[in-house]
Amino acid sequence: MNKEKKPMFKKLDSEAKFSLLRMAVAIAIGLTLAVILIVLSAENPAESLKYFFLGPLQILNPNVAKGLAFNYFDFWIQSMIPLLFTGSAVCIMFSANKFNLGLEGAIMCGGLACGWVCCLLDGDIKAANANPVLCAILGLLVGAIAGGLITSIPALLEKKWGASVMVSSLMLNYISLYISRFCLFSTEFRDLKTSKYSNQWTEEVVLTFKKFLGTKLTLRLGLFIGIAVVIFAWAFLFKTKWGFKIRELGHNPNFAKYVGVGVISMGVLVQIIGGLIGGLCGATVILGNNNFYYGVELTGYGWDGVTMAIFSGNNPKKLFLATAFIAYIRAGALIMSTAPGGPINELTKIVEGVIILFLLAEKFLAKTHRKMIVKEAKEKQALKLANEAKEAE
Amino acid sequence: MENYLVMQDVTKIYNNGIIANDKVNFSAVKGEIHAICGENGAGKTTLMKMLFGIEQPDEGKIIIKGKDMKLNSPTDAIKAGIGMVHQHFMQVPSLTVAENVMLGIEPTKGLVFDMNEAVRRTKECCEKYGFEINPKAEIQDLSVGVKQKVEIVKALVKGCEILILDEPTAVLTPQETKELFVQLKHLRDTGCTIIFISHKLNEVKELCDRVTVIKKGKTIGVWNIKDVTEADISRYMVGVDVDLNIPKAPAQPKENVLTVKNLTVYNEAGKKKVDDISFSVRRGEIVGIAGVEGNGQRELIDVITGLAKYSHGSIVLDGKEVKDMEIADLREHGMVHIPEDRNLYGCARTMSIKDNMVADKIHKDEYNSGLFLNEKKIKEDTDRWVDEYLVLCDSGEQLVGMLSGGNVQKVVVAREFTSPSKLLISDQPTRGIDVGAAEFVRKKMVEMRDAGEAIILVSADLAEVMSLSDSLIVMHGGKINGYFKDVKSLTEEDLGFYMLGVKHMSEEEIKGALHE
Amino acid sequence: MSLINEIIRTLQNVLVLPSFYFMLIQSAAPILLAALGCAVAAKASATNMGMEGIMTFTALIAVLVSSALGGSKGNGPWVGLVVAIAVGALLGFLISVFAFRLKIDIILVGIAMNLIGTGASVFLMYLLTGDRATTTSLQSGTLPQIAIPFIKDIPFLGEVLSNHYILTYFSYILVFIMSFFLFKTKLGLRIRAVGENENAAESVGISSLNIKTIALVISGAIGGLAGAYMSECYLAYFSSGLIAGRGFVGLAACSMGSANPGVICLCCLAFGIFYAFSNFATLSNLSIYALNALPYAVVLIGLVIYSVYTRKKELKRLQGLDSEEHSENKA
Repeated sequence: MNKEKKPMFKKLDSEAKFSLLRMAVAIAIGLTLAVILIVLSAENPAESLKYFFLGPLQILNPNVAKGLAFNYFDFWIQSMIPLLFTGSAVCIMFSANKFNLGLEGAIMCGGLACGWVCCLLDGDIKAANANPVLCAILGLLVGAIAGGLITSIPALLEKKWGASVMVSSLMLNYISLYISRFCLFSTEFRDLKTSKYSNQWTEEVVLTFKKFLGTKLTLRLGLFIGIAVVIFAWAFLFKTKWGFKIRELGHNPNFAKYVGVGVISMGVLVQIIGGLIGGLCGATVILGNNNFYYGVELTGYGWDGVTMAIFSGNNPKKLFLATAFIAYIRAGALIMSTAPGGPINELTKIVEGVIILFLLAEKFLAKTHRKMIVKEAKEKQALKLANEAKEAE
Repeated sequence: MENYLVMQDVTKIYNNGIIANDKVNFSAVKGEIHAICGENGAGKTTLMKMLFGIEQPDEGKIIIKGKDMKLNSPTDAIKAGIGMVHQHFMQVPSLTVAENVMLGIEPTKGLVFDMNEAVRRTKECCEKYGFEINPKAEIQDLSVGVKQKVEIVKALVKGCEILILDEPTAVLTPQETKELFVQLKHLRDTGCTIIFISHKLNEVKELCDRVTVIKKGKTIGVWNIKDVTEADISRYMVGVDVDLNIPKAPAQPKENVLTVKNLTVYNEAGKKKVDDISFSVRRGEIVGIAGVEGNGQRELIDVITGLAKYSHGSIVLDGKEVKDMEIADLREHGMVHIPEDRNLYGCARTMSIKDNMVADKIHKDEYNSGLFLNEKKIKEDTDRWVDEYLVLCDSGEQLVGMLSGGNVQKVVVAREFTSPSKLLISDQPTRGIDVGAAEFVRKKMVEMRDAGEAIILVSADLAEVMSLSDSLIVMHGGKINGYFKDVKSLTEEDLGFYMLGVKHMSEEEIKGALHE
Repeated sequence: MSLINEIIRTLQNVLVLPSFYFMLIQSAAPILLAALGCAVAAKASATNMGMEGIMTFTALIAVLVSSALGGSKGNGPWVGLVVAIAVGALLGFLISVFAFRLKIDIILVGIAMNLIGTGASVFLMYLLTGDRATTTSLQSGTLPQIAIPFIKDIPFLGEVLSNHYILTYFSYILVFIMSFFLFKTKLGLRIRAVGENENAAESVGISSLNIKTIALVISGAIGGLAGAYMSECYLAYFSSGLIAGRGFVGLAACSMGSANPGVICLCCLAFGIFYAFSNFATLSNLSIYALNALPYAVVLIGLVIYSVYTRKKELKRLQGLDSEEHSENKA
């Protein structure tokens, strides 16, 4: 029927145009707020703004880079890593409309389990009985499984007894935190010398190559694992039958049931997958920075995952941009705050929260939306009439 | 009282363009019970919603006690002395009867809700009108019959003089119905006007003083109940305007595909909705199921399609008992289903046409290559179906929610008809869609039948049931009330009699529905 | 076995200490406040997920206002408390605007509110004090402690019940006030009606939108009270990790107590017992960190028990109706 040549760029319909517009306006509002907060609180607003907006890139300028005590470009990349993981995990869970907030706990336990494995195998590695690469892989695997176990608890509690997933997953976060502290401080895991961290393991297991190939760059394997996870999440959600069923469930649970999706088991499955990714995130973060375990506080990455899922509209494909953006403003804010007289970097949280609200508000810009729909409908009508007129000729 | 309640030339057009009421006239006098009868979708409920201020008429006047009224909300209607008992009770389960009755007009002492006063006033109202209700009981502990009385008291306590009852006996047992009627007559004698919407003609005949019949959004007429028989009312209500004229050869039924034996279904609240019915559907025939809404068709279809479970009796699909089957198994076994509510069950409005069309077959090998979906094949097939089923859209990527009702239904039909199947359950397949789309869906069903499919057709559109079905089952009160081997011999008048329970078939005749 | 013996030994040591019970009462109070706040919203079928953020922000506000007015020397803490309540109410109102007028899922609004609340409090704290972690430099003071006449002289009981902060007492009094408010007043009745069946309320002319907004404003105000409790009673300063999930625990306690103030109070006391116990475990060889997880585990187990209970009750109710139906059919 449609034999016309496809246009080079897909013409956006009013829906897509509107969602782009709303995102742009929401981000503009958020950044404006950031500017206002900075101007209000900084001793030297111009300098602070410069750091905030351009800071993470300044490492590219060697003159500036020399003066900085810290590699902020690297910090930007590093901040992206956990966001990639948790964003993917929440995208998958939210796609099925499962509000499991237990990612924090999954990350905690994932890191802990991974650290434990590394400590256990450390002796063997030093005695050359075990391969450090295999040890790292094993650590990641065990971490992922530990995370999956944590999020599966609320899922199963709901399946069996109808307990609220949201509430039980929140409690599990704190239980995970104290399990981690217990292991860190009350077992042989603890390093008696520092009394803050776990026993150390060999550097060879760490997933970061500082001064990569003699350059100033730091190569973080975590970034690649994170990218792989995002690609997995995207392919899983949009390219496999399971993902298809998960999305069906999220779009209309009645419809999913009617076409034969096992609604309950699918709900449990997404939460386990989310937890696996969360656990992997915890393990990656632990192996990516140091050669010891140090989890004594909740990371907040789990909540970041919710932010990222909202930013990307549950589509992991958009996570790259979303994480880059959020990590960028966080890195910018950190640079700004370390400079003398600069505002504190926590202001990004306010900005993130405000952007979320405006991204989600259905009624926000509703009038513009309506106008766009009407305009498109009119255009279509005109086109139709023109075609009819042509045919009549 | 000439102008006690008059609705004059009232017209209501819904946003989707459906004309629910077309210059309807209705009037009632003080102290009468006035029945409104009409088929499903005739516009009775819309008319009453306008009287109760839930909907506003596009044209026409509502006159109450001689005054022209503008009713913009239920609050306005309540002030004008109108009360309505909805089919779904408007009650708060955990609150007591007195609290529910007084909600919105709470008596207070300062800031405090005056429970004693609420109980007193509820009691007073109950006594005045002869209702026996404990004002301190919680709603959730009450039976449906008592809940309904609470609903009536709720209206009365606000000084209601015109009481609308929307199919009040649909949820009641015969005993409760009897009791309700005694109380309604008592109410009438105290000067209250009651508008009684019902399908149950014996009840209308027993209870009411006058009856107004509405058909397809138009008033047919008003009669004193003494002057008409149940058969008359039925004849006025039911009427097939057009012969759908669907070309089809006589059916050639073969072996049984679906056999239902002694099936009894209870709903969630434990009420018996399907009562010991048996029938079978054979290859190459369309079995119609007719009946006034709420007579068990919904529950019957739900258990056959796996949306609900049953415990008594058996359903055998192609030689297998379906009791413990999940919907996925049922579909694997050759069941396809056009659901009654296409927006609730039939589609995901926020997903694309393509996704909706392959949703039931996404797990099949042909649509997967290895771990991943075979998108090329999916696109090819769905593009073909879009053409084949004449879905009007920009492309298969368009969201289903952007389509018109008829095109959404075509998407549903395309999905279900393109899966290999033995049994098609077609529930209201043409409800609310345009004529062209409806004709298309019907033609496709006949094609399916000729190809050897067993088809169950449930439809509130009697013209459709009569012209499309080969044989017909009529349900009434959860039982099969009539079985017609050959629909051609059936008149619409007769069908109305069986649907409304005016006539009954013998058990021997009904047994014919089950082919052994 | 030795572990169980150790636990029993510790219990024996701890349970005789009046200071244990004193701590129990004190540590359960902020969670109780948070839970009561969530309960008002929950009764109107709204989940106040933003309780954590509201508490964090109002805790800081209380400290800032109090220190600006001279701390304990003047009326600082009292004014701080009042302002905190007002700000809490405002935040509750904001949640209702975003959730009900702009139609965002209320849980996501709550999550955003937590982000904003925690971010804004640290931002403000740093802006005004130059300190990133705490406001110890501010001398904001605390609300008064009250020695209860007569009771204070009773041995043991006096040590347990007397000398609490005034807000601690108020938290427990608030249980009764909330019961009264929800179950005895007109507004409470309407809140419950809207929460259970919005259509029923609308059909008699009650605006469910307004009622829900009011419920969230009250919820926020109580959240403000809880915040002020943390920074003016529990501690005498604000720190960035001060609330430490108490808002979430309150939310859990609320959903466990089916938003019923009395049951909520019991849940919070149960939490308090294990919380206090974990803090007294230094007297034993038990790991304090393992014990720290205990109160949360108790809430989790309580939640499961509650879910099983409600499910059974619901089943029983349906069966009851069922049998009633059958007997009527027979008759």
